[in-house]
Amino acid sequence: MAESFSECLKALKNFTGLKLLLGITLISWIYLFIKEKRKAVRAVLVFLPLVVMLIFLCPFSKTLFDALGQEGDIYYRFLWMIPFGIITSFGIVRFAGNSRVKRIIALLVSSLIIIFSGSLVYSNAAFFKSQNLYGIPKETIDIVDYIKSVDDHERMTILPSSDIIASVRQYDANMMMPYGRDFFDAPYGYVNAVFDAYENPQREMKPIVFGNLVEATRNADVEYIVMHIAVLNDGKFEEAGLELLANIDDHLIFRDPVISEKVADYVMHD
Amino acid sequence: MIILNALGILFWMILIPFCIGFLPIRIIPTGLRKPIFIYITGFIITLAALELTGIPTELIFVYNAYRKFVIVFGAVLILLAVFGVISLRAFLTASSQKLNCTSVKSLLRPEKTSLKSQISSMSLESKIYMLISLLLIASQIVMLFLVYSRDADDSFYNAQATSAQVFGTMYRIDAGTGYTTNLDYRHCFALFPMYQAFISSASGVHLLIVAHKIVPIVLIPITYYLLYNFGSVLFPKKQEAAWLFVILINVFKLFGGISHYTAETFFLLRTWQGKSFAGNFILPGIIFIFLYMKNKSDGTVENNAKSKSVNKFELLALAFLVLAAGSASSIAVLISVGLVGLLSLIFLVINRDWKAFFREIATIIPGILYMLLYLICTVVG
Repeated sequence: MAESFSECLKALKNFTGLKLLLGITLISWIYLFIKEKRKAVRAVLVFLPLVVMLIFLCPFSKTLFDALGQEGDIYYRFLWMIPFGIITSFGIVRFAGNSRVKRIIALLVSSLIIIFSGSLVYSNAAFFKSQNLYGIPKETIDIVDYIKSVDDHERMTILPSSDIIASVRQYDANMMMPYGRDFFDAPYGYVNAVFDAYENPQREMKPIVFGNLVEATRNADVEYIVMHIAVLNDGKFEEAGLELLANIDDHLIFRDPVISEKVADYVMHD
Repeated sequence: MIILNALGILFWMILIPFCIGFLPIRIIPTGLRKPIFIYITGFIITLAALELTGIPTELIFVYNAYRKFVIVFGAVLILLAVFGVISLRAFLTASSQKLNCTSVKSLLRPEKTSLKSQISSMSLESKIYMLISLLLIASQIVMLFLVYSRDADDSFYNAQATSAQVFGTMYRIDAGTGYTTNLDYRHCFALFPMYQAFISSASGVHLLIVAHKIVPIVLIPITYYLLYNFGSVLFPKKQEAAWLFVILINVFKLFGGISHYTAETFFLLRTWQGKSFAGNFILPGIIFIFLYMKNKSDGTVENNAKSKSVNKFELLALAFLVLAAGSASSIAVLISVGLVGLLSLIFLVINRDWKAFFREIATIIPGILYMLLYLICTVVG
C-alpha cells in the first residue's frame, strides 16, 4: 500500500515537472474555494479537482488501475480530469474583477508568472524545423522516393537507419522492415538478428561487421539497407555482396542483389 | 488536382459534419445555436458514427475490412448529413420558414444581430482582448507549418492508418514491420487514425498531411471555441472578462509544457492523436456540458427558459462525448466514464436530485458497453 502511494506521488511529481506552474493553479483553486459561491461553478472547478486529486493519490486507485492491465505508465492521465488551465485563468480573471486597470495588470502580471513558471511547449526537444508538409524528416521522403524510383515492385523490404525508421512506414506502408521503431524501446530479451547485427554495434560504438549484417538481412529478405554515412567506418560492403546505389542526404543506399534476384524469381512464379 | 483535394477535404471535414450537426437542432439550446457549435456537434456525432461502423467492420471482416469501412462509413456520414438537412428543414417549417440561406443565418444567430454589429458594440478593451486571443490561436496554427514534432507514437498510429490504406485491412498489420498479425485488440477500438485514413482516402491527400496539418487546423480552433464558451458561462454578460480568460488559457496552453504528461504538451506536440483530442476536448467538453446544464438550472445562464426541465441535448451530448472518447483510446473512455460519474455524484450531493442523477449516469451506458466489449476481446482474443 505504501509503495502504491509513493508511486502515486511520483506520478504527480513527474506530471508537475517540478515547475511552479501548477502552484499557480493551486493558489487559484484556493481563491475559488473561498470566494466562488455559484453552486455549479464550485462543483466543477472546486470540488471536482479536489475529489480527482484524492482519488488519484489513493493507493487503492493505482492498484486497481494496474490490475486492469493497462500498458505503460499512463496513470497520470487521470489528472486530465482536472481542468488546470481553466481553474488558473478563471481564478485570475475573477480576482481582477470589474476594474479595467486591475484586468490589464492581471493580464500582464499573470502572463509573466505563467511564462516564467511554465515551459514553452515549442521548446520541447521533439520539435524540429519544418522541412515539408508531411511533418516528417526530409531524408525519409528522399530515400523512400529514391528506392521506389529504382525498383518497380509494389513492395520492398528495407532496413532503414535509426534516424528515419520511425517515419518510413508513416510515409509509405509498402515499405516492409525487419523491425520497427518500437524495437528500440523493447524490453531486454527481445531478439532480432538484424537488429543485433545493425544497431547493437552502433550502440556499443563498434564498427558494423558487414558479413554478419548481410547474413542476418538475407534471412529476413531485406533488399535495401540504408546506412547513415557516419556509421560506415571501414566496412567492406562489396565483399559482403552489397551493391552501393546512391548517397541520399548523407545516407548510403545499398542493394543486396541476392535478394533482388530472389524477389524477381518470386514475382515471376507468383 | 489540388483543387479537387481541397474540395474533398472541405466536403468531408467541414460540410458533412456541419450538416450532421443539424440533426439535434430541435433540442440544441438557443444560446448554443451558433455555426461553430453546430459543427462541433456534427463532428462529435461523426466520431460516434466512426466507432459504431468501424468496430463491427474490423471485428467481422478479416480481409478488406478497411475498404468496406470506407464505403460504409462514407455512406453513413452522407446519410446522417442528409437527415441533418431534413431535420433543419422540418425545424424551420415548424416555425413557418423556408430552408434558405437567410433563414439558416437567422437561426444560427441567437443574438439576432449581425456579427459586424456584435463586434462594433463591443468595448475597446474587449476588442483588444479578442484580437490578442485570435492572434495567439492563429500563431499556434502558423507553428504547424514552421515546426514539426517527432513523436514515437506516430510511428504506430500513422503507420496503422497508412497500412490500412495499402493493405485494406484494419489493425491486422504490424505497424512497425508491415507484416500481418492477429487483430490488435488493444488498439483496434481507438479508430481516430482510421478517421484520418478515411479523410485521406476520400480526399486524395496524403495521410501525413491530413494528420499533421489539416486535422490540427480544425482541432485547435474548436478547442479554443469550447474554452471561449467556458469563459462566456463563467463570466455572463462580461465580454472583457471572457476574452481575458481566453488569452490566459492560450498562455497556459503555450507554456503548459512543464512535463511530457500534461494535456497542454499533448495539445501542441501531438494535436492529431486521439489521446490529445480526448484530454483537450472531450474531457473539458464533458465538464462544460455539466457546467452549462447545472448553471442553467441555477438560473445564472442567460438562456434559462428550459431550466429545471430535462436537458435532452446536454444528456445526449454527454453520451456522444463518451462514445467519441472511444475513438481516442480505451483509457479515454474509462476516464470519460469516470468523469461523468464523478460529476453526477458531486451534483447529487449538492442538489439531492436523484432523477437528474439517474439521467446523467445513463449517459455512460455507451462507454460501459465499449469497455465490456474491449475487455471481452482482449481477454478472449
